[in-house]
Amino acid sequence: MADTHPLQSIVSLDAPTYNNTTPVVALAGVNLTMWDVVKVALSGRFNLGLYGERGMGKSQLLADVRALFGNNAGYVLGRNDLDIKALFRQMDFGPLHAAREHGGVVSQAELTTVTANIYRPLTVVEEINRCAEVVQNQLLNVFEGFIELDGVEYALGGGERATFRDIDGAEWKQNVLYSIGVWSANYGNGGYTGTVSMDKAFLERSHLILDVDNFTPQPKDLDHILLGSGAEVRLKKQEKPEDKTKLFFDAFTFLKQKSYKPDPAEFGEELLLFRYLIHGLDYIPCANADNSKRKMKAVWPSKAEEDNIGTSDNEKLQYRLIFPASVRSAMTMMSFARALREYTKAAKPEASPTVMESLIASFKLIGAYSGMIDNPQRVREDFVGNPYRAAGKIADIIQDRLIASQDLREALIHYQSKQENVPSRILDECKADYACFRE
Amino acid sequence: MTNPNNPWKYVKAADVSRNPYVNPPPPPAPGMPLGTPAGGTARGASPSTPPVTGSGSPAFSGAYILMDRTSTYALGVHALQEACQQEGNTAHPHSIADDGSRIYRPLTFKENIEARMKEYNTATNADGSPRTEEQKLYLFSRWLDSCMGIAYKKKSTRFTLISECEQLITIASDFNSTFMPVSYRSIRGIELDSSQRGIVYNDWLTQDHVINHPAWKAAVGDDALLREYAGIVFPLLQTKYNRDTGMAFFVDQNPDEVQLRALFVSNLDNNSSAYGVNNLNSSGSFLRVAHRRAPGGSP
Repeated sequence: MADTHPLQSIVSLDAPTYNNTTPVVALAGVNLTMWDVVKVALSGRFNLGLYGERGMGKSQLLADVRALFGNNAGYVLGRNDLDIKALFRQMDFGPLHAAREHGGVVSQAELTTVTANIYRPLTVVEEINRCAEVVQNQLLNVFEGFIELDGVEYALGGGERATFRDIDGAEWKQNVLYSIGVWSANYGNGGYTGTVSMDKAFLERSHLILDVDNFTPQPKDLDHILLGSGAEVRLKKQEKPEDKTKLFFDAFTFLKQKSYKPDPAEFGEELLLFRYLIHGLDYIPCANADNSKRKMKAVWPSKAEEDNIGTSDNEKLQYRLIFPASVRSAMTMMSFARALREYTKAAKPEASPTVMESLIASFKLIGAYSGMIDNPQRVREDFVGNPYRAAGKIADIIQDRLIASQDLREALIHYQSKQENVPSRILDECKADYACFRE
Repeated sequence: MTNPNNPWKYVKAADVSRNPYVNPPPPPAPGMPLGTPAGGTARGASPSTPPVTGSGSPAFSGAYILMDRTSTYALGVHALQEACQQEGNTAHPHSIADDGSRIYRPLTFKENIEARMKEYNTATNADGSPRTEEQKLYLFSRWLDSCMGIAYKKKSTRFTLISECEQLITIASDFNSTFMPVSYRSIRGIELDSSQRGIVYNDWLTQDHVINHPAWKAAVGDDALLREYAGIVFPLLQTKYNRDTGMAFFVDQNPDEVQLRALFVSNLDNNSSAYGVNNLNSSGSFLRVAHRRAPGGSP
């Protein structure tokens, strides 16, 4: 009997209430819905943001996510007087009482103890853009997995010691911590007053941001939503949900192991595509900037627009619309692509999603709000102001470039894996955005 | 945890038997115009082919000519057929078309295996000189396309092997799609299921697994030949690559539509596996049975 995939039990977790069968992404012929993608994010310990029009299911989705963790979540509603540390801190007047009895001094830190909230695996922030950016900044550490109280850092979430194997087969043990942050934000179209912009540093730590407006429920979903409403139009919270935290902890540990010891058949492609995100997308034919968008500094993308750099329409978009991934963004996309592949394999064991298609899917989901689509005017003019549509187009262009270089990459992987010198006729083909493959 | 200096040593490369960067087509021979048809005279000759004489065709029967690689399966079929017609080849097998005319066909999967066996077991060259290991293994150096079709049932793990597939033999020269759409019901051949319990597909096999593998048995159609072939391949894999597994049988599973593709056997570097998943428009590599010349040199 074949082994059960570690993510299979997660695949089979249905959303308690949220109902939306619209495919968000497809891999190896397997359609993944919003609920699937959310579970992929939770499995890989990716912070998650939900963005979109009010009343389209974000809060219900968050409520269902909380239910997965047995409602064991810290919860805050965005507001300008938000004190995030108050969630994790409580006052202990014992030392003060002792000092009054026996004399002495008491520091403020001695009066503070942490609450049980630090052990919660999930922090939910609703309507985050109702608080100012400076207030949003308080959440940075929480979304990084820790809270600092009076100069002391406390890791959030639960931990467990797990055994890992590295790529050479050596074994070691490591304490694995699991905590995650999810938020929702209403699209500030004037429907609500008081919404503000999102802090860029905070967005960077929100690994996956889903604009739910791009994936509205199907007509048949609406039938079920109406039929299942029970005359209740308020949010449906699960009263006593079963806590599935352990499943996600185990899934994360499994994916962590995959990261330490990648699949050898996928690893070469992963190495090259990681380079492509960071260096390949940096390429622009501009000799004064060493053919680098990064080195064009503030004149990118305006100079690319003014000089009409590129020959075909797709080339022009590649040079003026997409900024290369930072190492952190590229890591996020590669890791999310790996999680997508594993989830797909768990959903359909005979499916064989490729590294490339999973990365393209990952880019479509993450790229839109990763800061890489960095030409607002072009997005507005060509893509009706919708970053998702822009990311989708760029994903198609990247996919074309990667398909065009598939033989080249396979040849490079062939020689590199045998640790042989790559013939110069092959190295000569590694130019422009493919130059990153040659070293 | 160690941080390896060279992560590439942990990488397993894909099959590059059809990779034009790793196996580039040979440049035209001096004096040959560019665009000379593949397989035409000197360009198609292989190191194992005896010295050319007269008009350039091999002078003894039983030899095989590894045709030039082509950019699609269809172009390879047509290059093979044109070369056979030009030399009036009586040794290369053919099919009978509906109108009764003869049409040269690519070798079957079984015939390709037989060709490798024959070449491997031939101890001397035509001039009597002993053959080197490299010469004996020449037909193992590249994948061999066949006229064996492999049709996949839509959204299923069932597939059918067709030994002499008419659609592939009569393929249009400009066919440039990844697979042929066909009616699965109309296909006649040996039907198998790649989800059959206990049978491994899409992964390396042991020698025992190969000789008992239903798809390998159906593709070769001769258990003794399969046993003998595996008996050559596995010791070679062990000696050359320190491997005790190989000869995988690669198939597509649960395709979104009915597909007809061609089955080929890969080179030894790629473990002499059977591939039924490759695209028809990726490239072609065919074997031609050398034309048997009449004594005296007339064609």
